[in-house]
Amino acid sequence: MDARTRLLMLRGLLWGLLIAWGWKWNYLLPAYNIYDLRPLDVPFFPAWLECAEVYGILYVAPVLVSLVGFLRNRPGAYGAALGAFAVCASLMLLHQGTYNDATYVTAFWVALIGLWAYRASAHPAHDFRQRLGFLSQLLIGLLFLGGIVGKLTPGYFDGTVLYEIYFKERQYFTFRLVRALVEPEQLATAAKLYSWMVLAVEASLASLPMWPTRPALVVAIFALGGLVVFNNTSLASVVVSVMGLAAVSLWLERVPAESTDVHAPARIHRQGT
Amino acid sequence: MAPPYRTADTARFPALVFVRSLRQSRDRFAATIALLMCGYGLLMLSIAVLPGTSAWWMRRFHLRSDSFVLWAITQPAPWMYNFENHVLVSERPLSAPELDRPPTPLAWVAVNHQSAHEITFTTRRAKHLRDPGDKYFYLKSRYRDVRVRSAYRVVVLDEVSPMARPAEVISLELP
Repeated sequence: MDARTRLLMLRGLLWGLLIAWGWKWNYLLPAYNIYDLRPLDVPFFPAWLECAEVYGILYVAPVLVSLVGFLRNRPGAYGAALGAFAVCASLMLLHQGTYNDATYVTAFWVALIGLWAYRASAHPAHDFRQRLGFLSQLLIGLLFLGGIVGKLTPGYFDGTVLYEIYFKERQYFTFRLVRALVEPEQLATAAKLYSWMVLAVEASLASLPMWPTRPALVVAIFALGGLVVFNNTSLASVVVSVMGLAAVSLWLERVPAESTDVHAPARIHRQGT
Repeated sequence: MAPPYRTADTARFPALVFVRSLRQSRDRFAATIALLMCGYGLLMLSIAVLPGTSAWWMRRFHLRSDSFVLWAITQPAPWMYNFENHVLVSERPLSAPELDRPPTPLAWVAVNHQSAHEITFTTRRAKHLRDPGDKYFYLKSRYRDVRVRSAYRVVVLDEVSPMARPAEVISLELP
């Protein structure tokens, strides 16, 4: 891969992670205060993973390493930043204040794939962009597989779960709009329809690894964007890093093959014959 | 040496091209990432077919996994809203009949799959554990016919302050 393409790719991946991470900023300070002023001793967690200070350090560290990366503008500095994101996100997943937070789950995987991309793009490689594209597809498929499997239970088939969580009281514009348009006694039916739509969409998107790369990534970007717009804007922290990965993979598909692939000329020739 | 397939294959069968490319390039890092993702995918798929697995995953969201290490290994598995989850918060311990039919104004509240977040997470921690005293948290999750229930007592010793001692979270036997 040529140096310019490599730098742009790493920068793109890092920006996705930084925007996703930054989306949590409004949440960070109040959360830090609460964890500091009302500490909890949960025997399940090791003591060091209960400290508010650890949470603060894990949040700030990858941002600082990224800033250094942008200042140095070298592949190694971006690789270090992606590594910092991978390590800090994985520890966030174990911290009492941030465990199971999908923001850090997606950040972990995107950073890990980014770290691989940093290493794999350092040398002439066979089909680097195809590998990146498929890893992106696999991640997005896994994300939605985690959505669909746990929903195959009566509460989602009859819509009661989403009725209670979203339709009854959620103050987001889409659900307020539905409450304004639909009679209260029909709200449960609307929730059931919505629930079936969610099941259908998640099942389709879980199959993305089996799709051709380009349409899979385009559909994924629109679907993830739709999730944020129609469901909850705070979900941006979860999906923006993945959208960044998908966008970078798509962009690499459009970059002239000789910029990314050591065997491109031979293949172009073979295609033409 | 050029790869033994045409570019058109990559558009139609990305998985096939990925595997062939891994074999040719011996890219162990990419192979590890892909295997990890497939492993988590299989674990998640098992929820739909093995009742024991679904109970295990629900206990995981109740912070009742058998060990922290095992729980930690599963943390990168991505989740969206899952299972049917409810939480009930009370200032006194509740009996089994009361848990079945909570006395007013108590009620089971539907939550997303992060049941134990009701105790540990930001605004909910601030809401429930603001004042000194005991609080009882009852969590229940259901996936088809598999049900998992948990109970916790949280002992808050001090007012909210920078010097506050940690509130103790104690796992309880269900009545």
